[in-house]
Amino acid sequence: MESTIPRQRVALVAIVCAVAIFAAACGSKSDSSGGATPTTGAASNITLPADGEPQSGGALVMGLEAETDGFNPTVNRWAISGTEVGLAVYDPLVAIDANGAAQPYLAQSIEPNADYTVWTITVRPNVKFHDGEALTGAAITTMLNAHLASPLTKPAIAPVAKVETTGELTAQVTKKAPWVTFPYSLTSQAGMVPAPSMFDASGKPTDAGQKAPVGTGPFVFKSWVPDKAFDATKNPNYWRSGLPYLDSIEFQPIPDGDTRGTALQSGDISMMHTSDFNTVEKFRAQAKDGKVQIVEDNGEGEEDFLIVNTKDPAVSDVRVRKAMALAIDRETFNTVINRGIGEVADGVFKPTSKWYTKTDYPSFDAAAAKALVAEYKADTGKTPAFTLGTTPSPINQQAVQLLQQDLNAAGMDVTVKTTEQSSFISDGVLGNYQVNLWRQFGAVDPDADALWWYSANTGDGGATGGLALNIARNADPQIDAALDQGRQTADEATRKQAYATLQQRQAADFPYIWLNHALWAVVANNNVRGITNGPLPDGQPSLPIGGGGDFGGVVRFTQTWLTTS
Amino acid sequence: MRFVRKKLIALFFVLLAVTALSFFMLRLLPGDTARVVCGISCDEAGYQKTREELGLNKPIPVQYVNWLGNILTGDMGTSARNKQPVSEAIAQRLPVTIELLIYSQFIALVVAIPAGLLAAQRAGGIFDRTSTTVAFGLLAIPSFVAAIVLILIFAVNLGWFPSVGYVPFLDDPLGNLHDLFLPALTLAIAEMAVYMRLLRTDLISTLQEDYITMAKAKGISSRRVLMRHAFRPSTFSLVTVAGLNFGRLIGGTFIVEFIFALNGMGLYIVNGILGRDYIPVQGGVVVVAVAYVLINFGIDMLYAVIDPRIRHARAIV
Repeated sequence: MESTIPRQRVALVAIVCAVAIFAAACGSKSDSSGGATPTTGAASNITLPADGEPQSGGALVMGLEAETDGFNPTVNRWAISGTEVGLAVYDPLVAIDANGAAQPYLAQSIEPNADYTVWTITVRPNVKFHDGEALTGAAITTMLNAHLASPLTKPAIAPVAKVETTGELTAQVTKKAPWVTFPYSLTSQAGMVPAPSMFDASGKPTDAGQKAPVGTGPFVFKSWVPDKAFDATKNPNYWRSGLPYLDSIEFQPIPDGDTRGTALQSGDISMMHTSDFNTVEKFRAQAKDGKVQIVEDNGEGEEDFLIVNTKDPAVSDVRVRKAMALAIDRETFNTVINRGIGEVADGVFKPTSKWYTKTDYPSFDAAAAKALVAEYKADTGKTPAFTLGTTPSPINQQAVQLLQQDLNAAGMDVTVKTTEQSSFISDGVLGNYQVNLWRQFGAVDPDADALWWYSANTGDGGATGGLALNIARNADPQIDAALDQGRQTADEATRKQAYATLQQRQAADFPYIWLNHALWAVVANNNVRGITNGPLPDGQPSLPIGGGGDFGGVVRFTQTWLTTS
Repeated sequence: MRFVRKKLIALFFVLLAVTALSFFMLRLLPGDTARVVCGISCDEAGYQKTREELGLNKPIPVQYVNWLGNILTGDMGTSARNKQPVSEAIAQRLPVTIELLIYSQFIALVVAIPAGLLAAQRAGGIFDRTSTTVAFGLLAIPSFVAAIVLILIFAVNLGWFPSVGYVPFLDDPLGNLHDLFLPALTLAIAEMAVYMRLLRTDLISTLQEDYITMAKAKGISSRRVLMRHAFRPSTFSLVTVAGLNFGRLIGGTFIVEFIFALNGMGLYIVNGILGRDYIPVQGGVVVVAVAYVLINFGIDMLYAVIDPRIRHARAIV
């Protein structure tokens, strides 16, 4: 029998159902963990007060932005995600205090000689690795020699001439030249101490060690399933008495930022980090409503910029690079891509940094950009044409489209190229690019970023060829001299002058087309306490967030705990 | 038995062809496996040594034979990215993907079969027309949209299911099924619409047959006619499509795996391609291709169970 219900009514029911589903999806639920009135620490931190004594126990799950290729600091490629995991199973020899100074952490002391050419590292006594082996000066020697033998990590300690074990707990590091800021290089990957069992008899890192790290850190490696989870349990014999508070910690790589944020909202992870401005904006609002806590790294962090292969013929003319700087409307870029939250950059330091100096880096001037391109065309008969590379993430795709628009409007011919992250970085280091959207330079002390700027690190000196950690392949003797000066003197005024020269040269030569200063944030559920770094072993307050070498947004979990209330 | 023997012989040659195609097609990809394995800091001597170690300096047919021999002994090589043996990585990931697709197909069939039966029983009725509209709606929803909506409703707002991760099946079977429900449902949504429509259409066609009319004339109830006489011969299309989906989904779950942060085969292969880590890609593609062939072999066997005529039919060449 034919139905008497009109077709239109059936369709209407379907539409109403669909709308209801979407309405439910867009509605928000109240935070199930309740929560006291949030307090603010620094201007952009919203965290709950740590009432009462820290509670032991519990398992914390942290969402990371990427997977890492292994966990031996002397051989694997660590970005912020690898550094976070590393800080759970290893201890760095040095950490940054609240004043930005390098302080011993796993090291008991790290002392220079009179001219800073020899440093003596003394490790703390009675510290054991997770496999029961004692921490000794020999372990430090093994580690640093492994770094010196690693093409990947050697540049971080390139000024080191030799390392020797000089006592049960001491290692002596001799430099080729004075290196005043050597301790800063030991705050991250280069300073995290793996157990000798992670190396073979010849000192070469073993494959097994990369997959099952052994350190002295607050957590002991339990298991690692790549792209799923890295699990570690509390170190019952941790040398910092009474710590850690957590029973276990799990790191889950969740590359998609939206998925990571959703996982936090649904309680599937307890903490996450992000550098996506959209996500930061979202969680700022949620933190103000008391649903989550947020801590932002407002210290000296990374910059977003276009990195230019200055040796590539397409962009080797400084007029082309200057035209790029003039053509890009950084304010609009910051508004559209960074939701207006980011801080426009005109150099490698923030204006609030003691190293900052005002330079002649140009403001947006479309007319001047066009004029410069026209001058270049008239001179060479060529239109500036190059590829602008980035990774597949949606926000990066939007960013390069906006930049392409600006650059093409100035008369350039820009094509966009997309490459997966690990290949993208490899291509950069090998010089297989012309212009890339890039993020880098987050060191607390500028000397720790010097390896990215030295002429000696420009590979074979050409556009491609060799492994160039000076990825822009910008060889500048004036910059080299300034970097040497900044490294070899303890006098702050002299160092400031040296880094002023660095900024002026970069502003004149345009190896980097600045966009904005990056912002890392750590977001946590309301039951997490100790989100920021707790006091250092000797009681001094630590840099609350960041300071893990070249990365902002890094935190240690040594004093993190979960409240049951 | 003869039927099975013939199918097995054919299976052997199909597997050989599939592995050969997988091997040779991957050779067409841009990039240099030896360069990736050797690393960015590799010099010429190291590169040549790596080529030798990987057997890339031999003629391609010899490489294929060696590679096939290694595959048969479980040696699929090692990832250049994280030094994990490919066979170990696949052993971790394949169960996730297989469970996901079995679970999703189960959900799809559990919903689609009763819906199809009901729709066919009263073709043109309210349920038939409503289910048709809903089916078209479900087909129109991209899987990533479905995933996000499901996560927002059931994970974030209601908190009934997790948005990422899962507990392994052997650790907690019920917990595992609970954790994988949303990803499985995401995959099942489009499939259930297709299955329901297929079954409905085939059933309506079968219900026009003379023997059905005969059964009804003999006084057999509508329900019995539907279940005992019409359903089984109406499932051929359903079985074919379900079988094809099983094979397709083994490597086609990437989007769901990405959104739900599941370490399955889809994500493994795609990450390998994007990272130019070709050894895992090679291993992953072969596993997916072989699984596809084996599943379809299984479907062929299922036809013989469903329809006895197939068991006894002779091939007409």
